[in-house]
Amino acid sequence: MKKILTLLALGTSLCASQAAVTLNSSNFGNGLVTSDNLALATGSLRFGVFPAIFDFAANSANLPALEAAFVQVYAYTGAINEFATDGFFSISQSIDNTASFEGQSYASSIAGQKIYLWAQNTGATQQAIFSTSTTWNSGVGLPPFESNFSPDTGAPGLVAHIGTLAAGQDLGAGAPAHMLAVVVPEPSVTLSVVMGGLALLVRRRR
Amino acid sequence: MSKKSILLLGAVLAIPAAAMAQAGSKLPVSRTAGIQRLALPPGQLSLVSLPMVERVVDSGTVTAGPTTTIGVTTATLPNLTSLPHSIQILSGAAHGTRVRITGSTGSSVTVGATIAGLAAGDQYMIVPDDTLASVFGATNAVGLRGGSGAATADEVYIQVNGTLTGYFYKNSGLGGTGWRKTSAPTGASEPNAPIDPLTGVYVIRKAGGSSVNLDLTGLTVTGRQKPTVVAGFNILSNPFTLPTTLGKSNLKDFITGGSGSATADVVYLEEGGVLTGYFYKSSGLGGTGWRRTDLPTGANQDAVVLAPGKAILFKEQAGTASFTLQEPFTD
Repeated sequence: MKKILTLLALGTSLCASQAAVTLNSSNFGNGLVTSDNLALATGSLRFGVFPAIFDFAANSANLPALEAAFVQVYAYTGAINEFATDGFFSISQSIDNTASFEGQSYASSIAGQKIYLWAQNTGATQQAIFSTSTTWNSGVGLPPFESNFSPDTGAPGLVAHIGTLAAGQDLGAGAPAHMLAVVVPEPSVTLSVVMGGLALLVRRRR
Repeated sequence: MSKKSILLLGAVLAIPAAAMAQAGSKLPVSRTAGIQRLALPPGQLSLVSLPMVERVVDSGTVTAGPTTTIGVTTATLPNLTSLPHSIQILSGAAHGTRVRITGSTGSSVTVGATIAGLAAGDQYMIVPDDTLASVFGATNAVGLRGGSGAATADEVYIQVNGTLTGYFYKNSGLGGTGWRKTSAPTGASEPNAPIDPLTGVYVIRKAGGSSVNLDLTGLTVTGRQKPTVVAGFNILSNPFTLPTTLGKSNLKDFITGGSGSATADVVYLEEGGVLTGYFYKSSGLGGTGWRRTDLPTGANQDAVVLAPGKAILFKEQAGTASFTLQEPFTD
């Protein structure tokens, strides 16, 4: 996986304000499993920000609401495998801190905000969202301009907004893996689908 | 020492302690004196270690502790507060700790916080602390680029009471000349801004111009060094004149390791103006050992050199705040 990632050659070079910051992220302390306790072998790892007041509990199954609230800064999709072991990732990614992401200026709207990791399986039928106290580096001021983010147990401020911490099997890290949660459609959404189907059926019969 | 190192560590002359200072002969360790020359190239950052002390003002044995008031065997201490001084413990459980002296009376000194582990009978020395003026000259004798503000001048970051504080040498524009805070270019000149004990200097030189040499002279220190660290970034001096490696340093025993760079403390080392982060991987998939923050799955980094003359940018972010650097091959 790391082969397809953009790596910064050697740490961080000097500039009082430079056009790139580095996101380093790995999860060798726990790993990720699906809701049926199998290693998450493929999927998406999406890094970005959610509003500080976002109600995850109320919107855990409302993917459109989650999408609308999330500002994605970097995403990886593919195999989640390190050291020949499913469920683990390692990312080092250069981020342009002069750019905008989903219409949000990095400098004014993202820098300094907490980093969120939104992990999804292939098909996005299961998910977990984590944050810690780690924030997006501004790239302004004193180097190093890097944010080291990990959802591992022990990371300061670690929260699983969706999903469950350390609820899975030990994938080889020496600790239980974090577990994704099934995306259950909200009752209102389910009801809308059923009602829509019935309406369509009635219309066809007429 | 790295091949690319620009450190010219020369003329380190072994001089008997007795010849150095009136109190030096009482010290339990031998000392050397010399000069360290470090080039500060333009257009890059440099982490500068401050390995030497100007002189040993006093030394002896602690008679009372541990409280914020430390009794010493010397009957009448000199003035230790008009210019900053610190006390370093040379034996016992607090060995290596050096903290600033905030007050003194005849035979006792006051420090900001109790030194954990200090006990009567422990040996100590009292040394002057570095200041902007003692390192760079009161009127910028080193020759850093001055300016009317930090935007055009070279910047010098030091730790003052645990807080990173930026300074520049103001040599033009309204408001006179002298060492000013980057945040207050019209404020008071602060040549005697005290640099926290056992910390270094973070220099950012603007592009253009020529390289300047920073010559540091004094007595080298021996034995383990245990600076006070705070949460976040700390510029820690590497006081030793011999190179060592991350693996040989035993640093892992004194900082917090973790499964990744987010759950461990991080050590940033500078070479050629480039910072590289390392952490000690102590758990999780992928074994243990020193790893780069951007390559946690990569090769073991135990052989990375801690170069003399170079300070260490230490990010205290996990576990108990602590840091101890042992003297290479002797401690």
